[in-house]
Amino acid sequence: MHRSFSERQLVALLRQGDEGAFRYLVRRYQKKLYAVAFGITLDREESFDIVQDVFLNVYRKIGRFRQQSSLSTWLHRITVNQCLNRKRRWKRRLRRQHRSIDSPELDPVPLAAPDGSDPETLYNGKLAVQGLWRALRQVPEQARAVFVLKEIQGMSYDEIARDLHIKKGTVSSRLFYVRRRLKAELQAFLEGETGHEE
Amino acid sequence: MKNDHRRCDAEALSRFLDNEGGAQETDRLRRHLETCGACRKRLAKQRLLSRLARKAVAGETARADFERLEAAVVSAVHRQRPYAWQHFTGWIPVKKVSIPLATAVLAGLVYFFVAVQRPGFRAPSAIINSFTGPISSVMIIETPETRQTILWFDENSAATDDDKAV
Repeated sequence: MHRSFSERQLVALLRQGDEGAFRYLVRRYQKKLYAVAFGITLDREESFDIVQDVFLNVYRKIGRFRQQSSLSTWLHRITVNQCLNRKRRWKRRLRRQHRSIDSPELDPVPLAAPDGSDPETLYNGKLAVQGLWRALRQVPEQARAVFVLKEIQGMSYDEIARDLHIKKGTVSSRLFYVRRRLKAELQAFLEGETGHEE
Repeated sequence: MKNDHRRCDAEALSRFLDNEGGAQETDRLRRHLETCGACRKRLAKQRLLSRLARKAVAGETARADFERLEAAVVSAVHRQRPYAWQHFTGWIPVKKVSIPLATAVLAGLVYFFVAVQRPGFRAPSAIINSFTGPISSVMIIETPETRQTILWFDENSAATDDDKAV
């Protein structure tokens, strides 16, 4: 499918139940929404389910979308709400065999090495990613959501505050808190990478 | 100028990284960073953390099976085709039109049943038949709902007849 739509056209077609437009919507946004969901939940299957639910919600509720914000903003808002409000999370987790994000099977997340080939750099990068996930799992989900919306989505403090219904000062303090926790967890890696600057 | 470590503010540095500090705070931190190696290092670590987080999430996203996701979503949508009324609500401004419309319809129905269809006192439409005999009187009255027969017994006449019978 090589169709391309303006946002207004896309919304109009979605309201008519156009399947092509819906597939276009899924392909266009699924990666971004998955990144947000994974950043908050740190669980692949959970993120998969959440993104699926988001698109189903959009399909059912597109008639209520008043276009006061962009479609992208609306989608991200639904995703964050789904992540923070989901009640079935633990039920699903118990139903499945739980696999830790630190397990070897889940962890070969390739952190692209800046210089490409150095095995030690790659190894350190993998350890850093493991440390990052470990540290992120230790912070409350609300704080993690702020971190993800800032670092992954590049949203401003005002946008984050509006979407999460918190004060701008709370966004600042939560970001600071998460960064401090991450720095503590990744101290060795960060020292190794930045030691030369002092 | 010596490093002014009393002015080190890690949370402000976090805002500085995000360009959210405001002009005055940004200006103060910029001057502070010129002289404070520790804060420069903190800032470098924060930048590295940001890059690491973005790369880690990007790496995780690259591993996800989005074809499976798309297929699952489309399949779920096929199972949940919207009802006709959901399409209807898609092209009307739901709250602005449907609520006043529903209110008007409800008011109309209430008026119809209360004012027009109100059951009032109905007089008999007609006295169908009436006669008076020596034993009793009989009156048949018909209303729109019922047809009633009313009997008046003439006890004196009856007693007289009984007496006569005895």
